[in-house]
Amino acid sequence: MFPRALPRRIRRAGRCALSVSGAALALLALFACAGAGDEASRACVLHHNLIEDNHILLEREPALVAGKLRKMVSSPFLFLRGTARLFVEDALDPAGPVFLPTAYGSFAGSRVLTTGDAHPENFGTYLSGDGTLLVDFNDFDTAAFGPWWLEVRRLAVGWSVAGRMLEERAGAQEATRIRLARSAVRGYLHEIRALERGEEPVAVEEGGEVGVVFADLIRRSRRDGDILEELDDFTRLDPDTGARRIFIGDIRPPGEDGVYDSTLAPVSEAERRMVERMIARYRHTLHDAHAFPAEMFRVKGVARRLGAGVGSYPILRYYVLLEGPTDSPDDDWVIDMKEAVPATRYPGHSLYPRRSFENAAQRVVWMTRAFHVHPDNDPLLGWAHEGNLGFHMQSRTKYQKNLDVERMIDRLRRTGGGRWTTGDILEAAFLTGRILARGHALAPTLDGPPGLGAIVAALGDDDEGFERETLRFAVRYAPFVFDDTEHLRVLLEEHGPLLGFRPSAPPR
Amino acid sequence: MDLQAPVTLRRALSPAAHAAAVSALALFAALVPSGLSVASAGDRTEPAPDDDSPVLVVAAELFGGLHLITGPSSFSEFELGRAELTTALSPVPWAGFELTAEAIRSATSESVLGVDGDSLVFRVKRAWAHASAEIGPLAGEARVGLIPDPFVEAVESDYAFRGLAPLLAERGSFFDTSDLGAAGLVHALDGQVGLHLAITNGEGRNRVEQNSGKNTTALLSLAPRVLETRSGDAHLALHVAYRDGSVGTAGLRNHRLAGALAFSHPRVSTGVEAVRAWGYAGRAARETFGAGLWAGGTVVPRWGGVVGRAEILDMDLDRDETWRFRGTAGLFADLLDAPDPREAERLRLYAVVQFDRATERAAPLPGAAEAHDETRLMLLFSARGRHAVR
Repeated sequence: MFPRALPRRIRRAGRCALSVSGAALALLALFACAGAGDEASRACVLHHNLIEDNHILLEREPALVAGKLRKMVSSPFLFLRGTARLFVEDALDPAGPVFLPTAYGSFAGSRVLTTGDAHPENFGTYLSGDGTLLVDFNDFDTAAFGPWWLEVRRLAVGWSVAGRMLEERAGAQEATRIRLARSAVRGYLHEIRALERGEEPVAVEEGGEVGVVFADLIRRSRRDGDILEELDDFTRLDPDTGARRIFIGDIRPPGEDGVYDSTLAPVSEAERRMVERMIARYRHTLHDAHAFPAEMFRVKGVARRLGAGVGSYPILRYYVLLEGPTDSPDDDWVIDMKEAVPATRYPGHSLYPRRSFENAAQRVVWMTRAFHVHPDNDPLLGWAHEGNLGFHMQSRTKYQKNLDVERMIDRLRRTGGGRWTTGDILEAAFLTGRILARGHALAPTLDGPPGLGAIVAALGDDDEGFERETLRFAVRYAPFVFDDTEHLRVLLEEHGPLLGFRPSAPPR
Repeated sequence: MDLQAPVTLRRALSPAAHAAAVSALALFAALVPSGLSVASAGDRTEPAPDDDSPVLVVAAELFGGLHLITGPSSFSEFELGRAELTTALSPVPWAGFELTAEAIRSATSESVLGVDGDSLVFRVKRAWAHASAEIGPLAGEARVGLIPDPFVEAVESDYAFRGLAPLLAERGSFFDTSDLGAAGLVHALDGQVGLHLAITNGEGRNRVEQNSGKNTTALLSLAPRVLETRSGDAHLALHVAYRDGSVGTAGLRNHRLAGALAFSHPRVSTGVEAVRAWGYAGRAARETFGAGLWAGGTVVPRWGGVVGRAEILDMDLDRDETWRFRGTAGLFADLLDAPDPREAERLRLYAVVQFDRATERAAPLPGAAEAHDETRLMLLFSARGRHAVR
């Protein structure tokens, strides 16, 4: 699975304890540290970053963080998904191994609304308020105002990593990794120039020219959404009363490594009461707060969702069964209630005013609506906040499905019907670039006007240069993702499931 | 120099160690038990060294003001840079303890939420016990608890402009101001030579120990009195420190070599600091260098003076063009007399201009250096005071 030879240099990388106590050994330690190789140093950076990035959750949910780390080592792409913070620090650290200054930076361009985690698997389908199935970006947990060019780099890296996996596991041509990254960047530039000319923004919708990969995604979303598959998966009908209740158990059982896939766990009475209070507040934050009467939001059941996401794997997430439009159990709603986390941080970069939002949950919802082609892509998108907890909530239907790199690998391997070609995936990459560009260009910046002007001004007429620079970075960074995945495996072997972290309080 | 309890307290309360009591009168009114007398300006309430009765010292520091920021974007804010309260008790002349609380914002830039939004809350900055002894020509002290960093403590005691800006050693995250551990100090020649050895966790004041390594810091201080003038004595202080350190669960190297030279006179104060880091900002491989220079003097005694600071920080010694600069210059006015520059800032006002610049590679967003460039007009106050009772 990891063809790059990773001999002793990486095994040694797990040992980062470079310092000793005692003044007498000070000089010895100095030289010992200085003698550590690049690989050891990289493993130390990774080790430190993962602890810092997960510090709060290591204290609160150590078992789930352990699961997240195990999940990350199962695939370089999942590793990439779980290390958005490392990516930003690597990309911005002048002493970092992949540092590449941009020729397209500007003050205005560093205040664009960015998603915080642009990678291929964060593009997916929505059922909008008017019943249209469309594809848009769908993870704004760490969305923040920041540099647009860095986000294009992350998307290019994501496609490059996916491309290499397609090469290694599905027999794609050797240059697929570069072609996919280039396609995404070209899609981005294409959309920016189209918007500059005053053309309509891209809309990747059901019935439109969306390419094979997104057509497949939309088709499956329509199929599963129309039959309310979410109710079959996440709820059960009581055979005696006919009432619908939330399902508790494994929708898909955990893997052999103990990592949850899709499980709904029971909640305490205190959690249930907290969720009910949140739901009561949340309905007032919907895009059209008067569209749905209060009785539709009666809570019929609550379960803790385990196994979702990678970066968000350890955070609080609940599935809430609501009454829905009528008393009938057939039109109940399932709401996905996800704990809000901090926004992407660009160290040392002052963004005045520093806080534009009441809390992180409000930020997520505001930025989602601002970024999407329609602010009611999901009419049930809203937020609630209580004490130190904030949640953003959206409908949980099977109309929502994400791009999946594993599915791409599977479809590329096929020999019979349903086989995808590299060209199909290139087309999808191109569209993800367009969607990202549309969001950057049309959403308001920190200063108010849309980001298009800042991006166009920074690009000048040098699209080729930007493409070249972004690809250069992607080609440089993607191998680190593969090596780091292996570094993490070694670190887990040598330091244990929590990477040696010692919680202040004993685990619950 | 007598290193019995009173002197211990003076050092323990650094950098307010030698301040008189009046400057933060309003704050003290709420803090000091009724019946305690408050000294007038210049009236030292330091108990006599030969008095063996218990000593209670309360000290406070407040720094704050208004920042008007210009640059690619404009912004203004009132800020409270420091709000500290120290209580120190010496039940016997040779031992005691100190507790310092400081105000901090309850949410960092990465927090989802702080306490009731982002309130200022108090937390423990230092909490340590000490005991001292004299053996022949040597005077020594042992410390244990959440103890001050040797280098920052020593240099700050000769730095008369803390209300304007922290030392680069602190602001640049080279040193945390306190850490959990133990320390020993030995002084000779009436305090003109000192050795300070500290062993600490290495995680600073906001983390429990994360690795098996300990930070070991050794500091050598030379502080001769070089000149007697009509307006007071002139002092020279040289501090050299080395730290063998590790930080985080990964045990990243976190070594420092630091030095400072300070000259202080009642009318003039100047100094230079430099720090070399092996391992910085969570990157064990990174080597970083920072240097700061400060100078200030009274032009019109008591009422006015000029001050300037300059700092450079090379983020990565292995690469070119990784420099950050900060310059600060302006005026200050002391509203209360300070017989010694190290007792200054008892009630001081600053009006300064400060600018930040960075080279392309060192800017927070590389390639967009102008996003980092800022100029600030700062109107600041600093108030420091202490009161000792038996």
